[in-house]
Amino acid sequence: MIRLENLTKQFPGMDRLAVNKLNLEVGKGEVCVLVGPSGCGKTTTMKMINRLCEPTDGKIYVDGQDTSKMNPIKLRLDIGYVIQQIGLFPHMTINDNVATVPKEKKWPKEKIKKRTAELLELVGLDPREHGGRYPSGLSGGQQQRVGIARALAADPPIMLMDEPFAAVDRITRSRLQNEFLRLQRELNKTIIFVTHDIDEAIKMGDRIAVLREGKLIQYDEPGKILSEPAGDFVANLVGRNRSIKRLHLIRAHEILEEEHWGVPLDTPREEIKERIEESVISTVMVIDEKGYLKGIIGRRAIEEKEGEKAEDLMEEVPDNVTDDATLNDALSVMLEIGEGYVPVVDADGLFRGTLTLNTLLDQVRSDKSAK
Amino acid sequence: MLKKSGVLAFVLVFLLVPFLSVQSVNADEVVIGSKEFTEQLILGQITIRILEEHGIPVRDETNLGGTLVLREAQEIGEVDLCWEYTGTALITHLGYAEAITDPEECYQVVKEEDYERFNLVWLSYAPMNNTYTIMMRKSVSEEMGIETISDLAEAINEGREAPSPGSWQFASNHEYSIRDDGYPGLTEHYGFHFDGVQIMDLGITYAALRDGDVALAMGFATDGRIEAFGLVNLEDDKFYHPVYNAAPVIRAEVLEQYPEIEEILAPIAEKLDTPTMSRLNGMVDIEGYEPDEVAEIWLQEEGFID
Amino acid sequence: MLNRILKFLIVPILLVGMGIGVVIYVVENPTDSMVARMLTYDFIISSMEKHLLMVFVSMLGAIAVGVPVGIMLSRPSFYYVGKVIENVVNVGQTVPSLAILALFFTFLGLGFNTAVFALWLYSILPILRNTFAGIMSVQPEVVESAKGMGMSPWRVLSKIELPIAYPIIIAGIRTAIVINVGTATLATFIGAGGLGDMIVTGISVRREMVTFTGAALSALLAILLDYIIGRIEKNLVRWS
Repeated sequence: MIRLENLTKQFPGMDRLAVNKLNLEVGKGEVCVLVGPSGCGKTTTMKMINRLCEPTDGKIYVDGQDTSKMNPIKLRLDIGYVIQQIGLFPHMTINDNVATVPKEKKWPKEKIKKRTAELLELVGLDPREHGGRYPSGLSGGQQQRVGIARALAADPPIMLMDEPFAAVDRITRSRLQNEFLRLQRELNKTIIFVTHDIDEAIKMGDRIAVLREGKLIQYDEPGKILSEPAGDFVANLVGRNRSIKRLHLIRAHEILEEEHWGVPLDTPREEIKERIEESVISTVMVIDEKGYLKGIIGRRAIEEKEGEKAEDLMEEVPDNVTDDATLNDALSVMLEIGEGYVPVVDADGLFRGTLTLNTLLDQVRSDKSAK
Repeated sequence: MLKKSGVLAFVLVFLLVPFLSVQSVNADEVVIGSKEFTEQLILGQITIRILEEHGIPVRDETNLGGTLVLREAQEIGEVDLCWEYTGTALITHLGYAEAITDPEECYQVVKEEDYERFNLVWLSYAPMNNTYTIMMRKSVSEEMGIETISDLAEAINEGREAPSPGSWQFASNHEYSIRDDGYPGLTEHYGFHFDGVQIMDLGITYAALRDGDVALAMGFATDGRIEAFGLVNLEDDKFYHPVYNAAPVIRAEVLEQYPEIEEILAPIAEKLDTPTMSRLNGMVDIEGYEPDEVAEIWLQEEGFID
Repeated sequence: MLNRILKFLIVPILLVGMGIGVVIYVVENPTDSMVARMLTYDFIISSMEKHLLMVFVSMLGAIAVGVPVGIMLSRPSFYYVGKVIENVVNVGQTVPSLAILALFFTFLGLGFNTAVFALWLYSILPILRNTFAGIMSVQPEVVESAKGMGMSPWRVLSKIELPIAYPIIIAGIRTAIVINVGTATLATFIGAGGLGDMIVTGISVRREMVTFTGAALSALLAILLDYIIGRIEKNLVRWS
């Protein structure tokens, strides 16, 4: 889908090459992460793909076509573009921001309206509540979502994303990352993703290209980057705690156990007591008839609270993760809420099971012994 | 304390300075004074040069200050001789409320009263009259045969074709445009109307007239630009504007000491008409000569000195 | 809607009313014959007309030149030229307006056209400077994302940069028009007429009422124009 051939860039007045004979091929539907320290040429490489920056030498092929022979405006209209600072247009409403490319492509008004609402919902914003607002009225995380919706507006086959989640806090970032990965499974875009954060690269990438001073050092799947780093530079970049990094590669749904300590709303007190004794986390999850997680009951609750049924005894769920979250995300949440477990729900909010600290430790151990 | 005595000393010195300077004056010297503008400086230099020529000792105190300062100096005897204008003396020094528009009459009133009250003698006056004037371009004046304001009134009333800019536009400064004794009275006195009045700064009425932006303009009659820009004063034949003829004014006791001064200055005053004064002013203001150079040149031209 | 129009009109009506009140009062109650001769309805109205004409012609010309030149200088290829011109403009602004009038009088002669030319030149400065500064204030990432999404340079300018710079450009126009109304009172020195006729004549013959009338009308005019432009800006910009 995208092929870089001997791609080279030298900025005027600079001796060093910003990008040095880079060869790279990204397949359709793949997420290719360019990672490396600042000044490694990752952003420059990305900007050459949509020709915001012209190569000094070498070629770029998109769908087999030489981009240097294409009209740059037309080229860009078919490539979604998200940057770190988002760059929302402050004088336009959220709707108008999202409609930018469809308007440039002169879509009919009705179609634009429909598409805008659809996209805002897709990135988790309410079109009626947020559509008429200006960017200054949105939180950082919401602005990022709008930035992504705007890039997706005309359904471009290719997306260029330059540190798209760098401007928000850690929790929001991991949530946005997970949502984006879920979207990507549906949309199947070809994505060039730039980051300096190796954790993000491992989590997001189908393949990772490690760059250093304009040169490609290693281009591999995340697992290979972790297990077989090509040389000291990549090894240092990945760091010493590779086992924990591997938790980025495993999704919650891959290791969910059958036993999840769920009980229905009308479970009597005595039965709950028994289940809690059996449970390794000394807690049961209360599930309603549709399968939604309604609350939890721990030892303390059953001793202190009155009532005979589960629904009277249950307490609020401290937090949960979605089943496409990585084990690393799950670990973060456990540390955050100070418990040895976290409930897992699917995209629709249905209860899927429970992850425990022990399960995570088993994963890390089995990885170590496998080596 | 020190500060106080310092101030006191300062004040004392200042109080004493006039007496000290009077003390140092050579009793035989004639002190020539003048106001601070070009015409006055030239008149002062002419006087100095011609008196020297006749062997009278003089001291140069020209460029002394404004009208009031010069007059004060002359009344207390620090200045013996200077040039003053009849209209100014009448209104400002003698306190008359109404101006006199006949030159001879104005001169006689001033001459008589200034001698009686202040012991100052007005020598014979020059025909030059530094008053408000109505100007035209010289070429237009010659072509249309307009020399006086009456001629102008007639031409306008007969509906003769106006020169550039094509109608009888009149340039006036702000003050003249509204004063009772300015433009409103002028048109009433002569019985005519301009097509329009353009109000502007006094300094640029001359250039506006030269460039044909207006057909007529007001100004001051002896301004150097009149001659230099090829303009001409229309004669105020019905004596509308107050007169400001210049004349040498001398303290009576000095004139007694040097009675010949009256004879020396009379022919000089006679030669100083308005166009001449305008030309001499122009030599300083436009051509860049010094006042004493202009005095020398003119006196030579006229044969008063060699 | 009607309510909003009324709300918009209340201040202008008040200002115009004050102006008319001043004019009627001074024309009907002159302090002496000289004041009466100057302050007639005809004269005041024609002075106002000339003043307005000078201001409008010079402002339209200044906007027509200042905005495009400001835009041109903000293009990357003109960046350094823009910086130089910005500094020249800042220095130019320190030249007294009377000096500019006097300077152009010597080249262009007397009257209305010279006054308009000098006012035009003087008003270009704040408009040009603010247009340049306004466009330079647009965050680079906003321009980059617009370009990256496939907007042509012309579209980026017209849809992104100008609308965002708009409040600053308008502020420049407001500054210019207030300066312009005040400076136009100096046009009287070169025979261009306007409200300055009253101000300077009043001073030269010490008739405060005449000076006051000219000064009050030009102040009211400046406030009125400033207000109107300010309202227009507010109605067009809702995002900041």
